[in-house]
Amino acid sequence: MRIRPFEYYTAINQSDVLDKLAKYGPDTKVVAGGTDLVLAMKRKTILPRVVVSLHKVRELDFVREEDSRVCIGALTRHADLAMNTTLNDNFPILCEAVSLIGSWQIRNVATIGGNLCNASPAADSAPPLLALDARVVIASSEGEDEIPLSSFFTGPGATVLKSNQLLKEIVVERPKTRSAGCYLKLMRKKAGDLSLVGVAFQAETDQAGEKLARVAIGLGGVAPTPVRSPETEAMLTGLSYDEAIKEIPEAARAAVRATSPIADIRASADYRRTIVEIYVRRAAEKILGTLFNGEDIQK
Amino acid sequence: MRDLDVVGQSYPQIDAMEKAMGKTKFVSDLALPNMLYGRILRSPYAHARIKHIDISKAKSLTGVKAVVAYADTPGIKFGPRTEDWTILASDKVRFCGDEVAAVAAVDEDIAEGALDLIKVEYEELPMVSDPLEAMEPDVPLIHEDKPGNIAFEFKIDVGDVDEAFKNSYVIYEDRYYTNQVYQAYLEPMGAIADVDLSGRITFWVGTQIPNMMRMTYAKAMGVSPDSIRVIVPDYGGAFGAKMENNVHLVAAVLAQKAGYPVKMINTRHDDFIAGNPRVPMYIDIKLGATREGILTGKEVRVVGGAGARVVYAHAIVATACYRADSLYRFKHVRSKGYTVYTNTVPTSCFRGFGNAQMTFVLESALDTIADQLDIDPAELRIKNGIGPDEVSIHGWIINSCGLKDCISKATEAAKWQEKRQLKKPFRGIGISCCNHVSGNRAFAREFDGAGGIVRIGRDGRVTVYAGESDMGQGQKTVFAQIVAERLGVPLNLVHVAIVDTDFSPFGLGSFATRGTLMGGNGVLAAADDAFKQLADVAAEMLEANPNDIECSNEKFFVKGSPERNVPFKDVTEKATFVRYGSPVVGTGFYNPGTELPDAETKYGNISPAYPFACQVAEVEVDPDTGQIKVLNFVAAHDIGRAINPMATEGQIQGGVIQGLGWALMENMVTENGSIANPDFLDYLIPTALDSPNITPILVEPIESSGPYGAKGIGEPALNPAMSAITNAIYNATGIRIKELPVSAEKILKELKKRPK
Ligand SMILES: Cc1cc2nc3c(=O)[nH]c(=O)nc-3n(C[C@H](O)[C@H](O)[C@H](O)COP(=O)(O)OP(=O)(O)OC[C@H]3O[C@@H](n4cnc5c(N)ncnc54)[C@H](O)[C@@H]3O)c2cc1C
Repeated sequence: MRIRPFEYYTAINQSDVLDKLAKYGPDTKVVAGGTDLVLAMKRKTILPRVVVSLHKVRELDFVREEDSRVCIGALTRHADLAMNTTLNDNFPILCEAVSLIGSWQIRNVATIGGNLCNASPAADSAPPLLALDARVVIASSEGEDEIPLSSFFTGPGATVLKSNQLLKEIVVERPKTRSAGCYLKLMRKKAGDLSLVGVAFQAETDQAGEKLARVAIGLGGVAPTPVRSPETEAMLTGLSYDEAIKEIPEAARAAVRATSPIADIRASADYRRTIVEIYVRRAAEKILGTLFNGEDIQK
Repeated sequence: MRDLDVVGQSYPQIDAMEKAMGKTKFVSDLALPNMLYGRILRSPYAHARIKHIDISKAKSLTGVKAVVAYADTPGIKFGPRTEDWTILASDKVRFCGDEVAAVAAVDEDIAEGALDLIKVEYEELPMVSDPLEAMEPDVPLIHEDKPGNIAFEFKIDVGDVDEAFKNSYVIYEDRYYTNQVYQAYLEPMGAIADVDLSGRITFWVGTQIPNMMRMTYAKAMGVSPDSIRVIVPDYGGAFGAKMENNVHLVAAVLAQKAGYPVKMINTRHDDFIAGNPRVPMYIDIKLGATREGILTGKEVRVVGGAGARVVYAHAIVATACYRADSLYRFKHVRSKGYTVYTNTVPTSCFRGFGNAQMTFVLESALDTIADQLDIDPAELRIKNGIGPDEVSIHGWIINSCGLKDCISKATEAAKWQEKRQLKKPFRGIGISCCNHVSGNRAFAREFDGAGGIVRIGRDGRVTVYAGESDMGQGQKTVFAQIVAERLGVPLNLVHVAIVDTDFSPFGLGSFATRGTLMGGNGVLAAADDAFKQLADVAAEMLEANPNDIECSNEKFFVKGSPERNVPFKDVTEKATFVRYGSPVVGTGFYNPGTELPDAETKYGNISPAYPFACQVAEVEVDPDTGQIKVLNFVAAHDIGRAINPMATEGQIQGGVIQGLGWALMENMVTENGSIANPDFLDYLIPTALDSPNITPILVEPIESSGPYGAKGIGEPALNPAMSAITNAIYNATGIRIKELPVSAEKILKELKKRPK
C-alpha cells in the first residue's frame, strides 16, 4: 500500500495550475485535501505521473456573495463551509450535508471541489447542490465555462472535466422567497461512514407563502451519479401545505423510481430503496413544517 | 490491614503524559542502525498448491538485501499448541494472506516493489471457508492428517442432562452464530528482529506473552530458548491478538539472511487479512428450567472456525464449552466442541476468549426462558446466580462474588423496574450477566502464578520488573500502585520496566484477565522482600526491631511512633553503601494454588478468583429504518478491590463500546475465501458519537487471593455487552437476535415479516 513515485509540483496560483495542467498532460492530477486522491494512489487505482498541489492556491478558498448569487471556491474546506454564515443564512442544507462528511479530521482538510471532482455517487455535497440548481465554473488555460452541476457528473468517479481543466468555483442562486431544506444521510454508524443513501430536500414557497413554488430533491448513493427526482418534485410543486401533506406518501414512493441502487457489502439495493422513500417522506414533512408552520424557522 | 494510601486511588496512567505528548516510542517508532524493512508476499488464493517460486528477479533489484521462501527457513513444523505451522508456506497455501515469501530492503518502497518481482505458480484447490461446511464429508482437507478438518474435539458431561431436561417445565433450543471480528488495536502487529554474531536473535515486539512466545519461536527457529531474547517496548493495544504470529518469525529469517536488523510491521491491510481475529462460532444451545425458573440443564454444541492453522482456537472453543457454567448453579451440563480448520485467516484470542461468544448465547437463551415463564429476567438471574463461598459444577471455588449485588445495583441505576413497567413502543431494556477468571490454569502450561522483581537504587528510585506487559490497559500503573503501597512511598517514585526476557521474571503474560491478580501478587511479593531488606537497615538506624518497622509517606518509623522517623532515601542510600554498591533487589512469587482440570471430567479450580458482572442496556429502534440507538448503558462489575477506580472505569467503558461495536456493526465479511472489507472504510468500529452514556458501577468485595483484594476487569468488561443490547432489542421489538452483528437492515427485514 505504498505510493508509487511521482513528480510533485506546488502551484502558486490558479494560472500556474492551469499552465502546469496544460504542460504535463493527461497523467497529471491536482491534489486539494488529498483525502480521496492519496487513498486512490495507495490502492493504485490512480497512478498519476505528476501531482500538482493546490494548497497554496488560496484564491480559490472563499465564499463570496455576488448580487443574487453566492460563489464557493473549489478549495473551500468542509469545516469552513459548515460554519460559514452566508451559507448558513442562505443554504443551510449545504452546511448540514458537509458537516456530516467523515470526521473533524477529514472536514478540516477535505474540500468541496475535491468532493465533486472525485465524483463518488455518494459524495455528500452533491445532492444539496443539485437541489439548489448549482452551477460550476470550469477553468483551463483556454478560458472559463459555466455549466449546471447536473451535467457535470458522467458516471461513478467520472466527470466532464478534461485533463487540462480545473473546477474553479460553484455558483448558487439565492432563493427569492421563503425557503428551507434539509439533508438526511444514512450511515451504518453515527460518524465516519459514507452515505449509503443521501437525501437532500429543498423547497420554496410562492410570494404569498401559501403554496410550494419550488421543490427540489437531490439523491446520493442510489444511482451511478447523484441524481434529482423530477417526478416527486412535480408531484409536490404548486401544492398548499394541506395538499402537500396528503401527497407526501405517494411522492416519496415516486422518488424511488429515480434511483437504480446497487447491492454491496454496505446495504442491499432493496434497503437503499426503502430508505429513499422514508427519508424523502421525513424530509418533506420536516420542511413543510418549517415553511408553513414556522417550526424551526430558517431565515 | 492499615488504611491504604495509594491503592484504591484514581491516578492517571503513569505513562499517560508521555503518550499524550507523542513521546512514547511504540514498536513502529523504533529504528536500529542499518535497519532494513521487510515485506511479506501473501497468498492471493484461499487454498492452492505452490508449484514453483522464483525469487531471483526480486533478489537482483537494487536495494534488496534478502529474499526468502520456505527453502530459506528452518523448515520446522511448530505452533503455540498445535504443530501445524511453518514460517513460510511449504507446499500449499491455506488462506488468502498466507505467508509465501518475503523481502528485506533498504526502504519500504523497494521492499514492496520487490514483491511484484517474485513469481509464484499456484494450482488452485477447492476451498472451504465455513466451519460447518468444513466438517461435512467429501470436503477438501486443509491439513491432510486431520479428517473432517477437525483439529480438536472437546467434551464435557456432568450430571444427567437428559434427566434434567425431562424434569423441565420449559426447554429452549436454538442455533446461534457469533461472527469473526477484528481486534482493531491502534498499532498493527510487527517486530524488529536482529541477529548477533553468535546467532542469538533479539525481537522487539508488542506481545502479551513474551516468554511463551520465546519458547514457540525457539522451536520454530531450531534454536534453544536462551538463544532468543524478547523485548516488549510500549505497544499499541492487543485485545488478545498479540500472541505468536508468523510476521515476527519472517522478520527473524530475513535478519539471519541479510545480516542486518529487519523491521516488519504489518500494513493495516495485512493485519486484517493475516492477524488473528476472533474465532467465529456456531453454537447450538438447549436450556431447561422449572416452572419457578430454576435452571435444570444445559447442553451446547460449539463449532469454532480455527482458520488455516490453530493458534489458540481449541482453547477458546473449550472455554466457550464450559466457562459460563459457573455463572449459575448448574447441576447438569453437557458440551461438545469442535475446532475446525477452514481456508480463512487463523483465528485466535480476543477479549473474552470464547466466554464472550457463549455469554451472548447463554444470556440470550436465559432472556427467552424468562419471557416464556413470564419471570423478570433480572429475577431469573438472581434466582440462579452463584454466590460467595460456593463451589461450582466444575469445581471452581468461588471466594468473593458480588454477582447479585451487581444485578441489583445495575438494575437500580438503569431504572429497570420502571422502564419495563412503563414500556414505550420500540424502546427496550435488556440485561446480561457474566462470570470470568483471573488467570486460567487450564491454559497455562507448566504452572500458573507470577513472579516479580523490585529493585531500589541508592537514590530511592524503585523499578518494578514483571512478566505481564502493558499494551495500554494500564498494567504498569497498577503494578506501580501496588508496590508504592507496600513500600510506603508516593507513586512517582515507582517506575515499571518494560518486559525483557533477559531481565524480567518468567511471566506467563497479559491474558485471561490475570495481569492484576497474578502479576500484582508477584510484584507485591517482591516488594515485600525489598521492604524487609530496607527494614533491616532502617531498624539499625532507628535502633529498633526490624519486625516493628513501618514506612509511609516515604518515612521509616517504629510502629506506633511515626514522629521519630528516617526518610526513605536515607535508608536506601545507607542500604546501598553497606552492601558496597549492590542495590536492594527484592524478588518474590505468587502461587495461586489452582488445579489443572481433570483431563476427562474437566473438574478443578482453574483460577484463584472469579470476577462477575451485570450490564443493562436501553435501546430505541426506528421502526421505519430498523436503526438501533443505544440510549443508556449501566455496567456493574465485581472486580474485587479496584486498585485504580478511574482505570477500572476506563476498562469498563472501553469494553462496553467494543461490545457495542460487535453487537451492532463489526463484521469481517468473507467472500470467495477472501476478506471483502480489510479496511476501516467497511470494517466499522464505533466512534465517540456511537457511544451511549455509560455508567460504570464498581462492586468491590475484598478478594482474599488478590493483591489488596483485587480481581480483574479486562475481559468481563466486554462479555455481557452484546446480549445486554440484543436483549434490549428483544424487549423493544420482540426480535430475538441469533446472529451477530445486528444491522439496521436485518431489523427492518424482521419487522417487515410481521403482520401489520
Ligand atoms: C475517512 C474518510 C471519510 C470520508 N467521509 C466522506 C463522507 O462522509 N462523505 C463524502 O462525501 N466523502 C467522504 N470522504 C471522501 C473525501 O473526503 C471527500 O470526497 C473530500 O471532499 C475530497 O476532497 P479533497 O480536497 O480531499 O480531494 P482530493 O483527494 O484532493 O481530490 C479528489 C479528486 O478530485 C480532484 N480535484 C480536487 N480538486 C479539484 C479541482 N479544484 N479541480 C479539478 N479536480 C480536482 C483530484 O485530482 C482528485 O482526483 C471521506 C474520506 C475519508 C478518507
